[in-house]
Amino acid sequence: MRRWTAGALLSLGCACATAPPLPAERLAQAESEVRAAQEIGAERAPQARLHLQEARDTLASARETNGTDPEGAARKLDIARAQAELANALAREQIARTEAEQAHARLDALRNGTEGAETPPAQRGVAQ
Amino acid sequence: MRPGTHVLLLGAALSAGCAHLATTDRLDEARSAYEKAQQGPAAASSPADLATAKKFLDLAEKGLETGDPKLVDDRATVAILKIQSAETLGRTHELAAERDRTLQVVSVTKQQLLDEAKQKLTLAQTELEREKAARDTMEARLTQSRSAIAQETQIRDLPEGTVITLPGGQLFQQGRAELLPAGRDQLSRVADFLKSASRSARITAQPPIKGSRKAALALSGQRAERVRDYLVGEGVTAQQIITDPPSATPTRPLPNSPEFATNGAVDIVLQPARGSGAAAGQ
Repeated sequence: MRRWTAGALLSLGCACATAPPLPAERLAQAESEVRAAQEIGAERAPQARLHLQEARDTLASARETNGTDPEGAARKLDIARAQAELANALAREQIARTEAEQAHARLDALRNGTEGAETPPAQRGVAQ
Repeated sequence: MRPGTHVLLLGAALSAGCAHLATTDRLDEARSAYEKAQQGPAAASSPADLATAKKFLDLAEKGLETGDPKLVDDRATVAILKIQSAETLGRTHELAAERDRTLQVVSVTKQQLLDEAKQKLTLAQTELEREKAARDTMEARLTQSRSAIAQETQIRDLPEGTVITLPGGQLFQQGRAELLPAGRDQLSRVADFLKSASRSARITAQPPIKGSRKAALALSGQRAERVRDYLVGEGVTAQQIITDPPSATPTRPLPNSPEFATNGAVDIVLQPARGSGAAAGQ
């Protein structure tokens, strides 16, 4: 019995010691995409925020499972990157929507003769 | 080992090596999402992003050859996310185009409003200049007309208005209400003045101080009406002039002259011009 236990621990130890690190380039790309989504203001757009959080969770999961399933962990990096890209795209969409609405409001104000009362343009980034 | 056993082992090894998957639910979902995206705005507005998504879908399809459903699902998940990104970017492009179109309309509308405002301003300035010229002409005519009257009558600016006092002896035969030719000429000049002034006027005939009061009052009333009729005949608007009933006491002091005492006078009072304030004395 002792021999079995010692063997199992040795096998586990070997597995941990031989687990390759996460692919550096894919990890960097995923992390970079998450940062880009944060910077564009994904936290302030509900849908974008949701996907950004998923990206973070997937990254964490990739780090956790790398020891036991390095190939699966590497694929998780690709998923995390795609989730962050989607968060980024959704944040940009929200910005474009806000700008289009502001342009319409400006035109309406101009036609109604109340242009001076229009709201100032929003700061660059996703509207609250 | 018998030969049959060898064949069985070889078959098992081959089937294990070629464990080709037919599909997975996730891959089906990715295929469906891609087909839908192809029909949507992303196909036109973000074809490059959709093409990238297709490459990831192809990778997922290729994963079926490995026989690893987890690998296929992971790749299909990436494909789905890429498709969603392409659709989102497509909508973003459309929104940006809409914003640009609207801003273009804003710019054109602004220019139109500016042009209209400039045109209105020019018209208003022209109208203002025209009005000023007309006013200057009228003022000149008024001054000229007043000067003509002032040469032979008394004209005073009093708080109640501009008072033109015409001696009764110059207008009428003594004791009568018939106008003399010279009186008509005087009244014609007064009529010009009234027309230039465009102000309402009251006519008051002041009775002579001498003589019977009763007869003098009756005569004064007739004279006032006669003056009014003549002025209207000369083109003064009837609504512009009214006659005051004769008063036994002078409504305003008569010039100290025997002529006025004997024949009385006719006062024509023009209401003060709007905004003229206290009238200046002569």
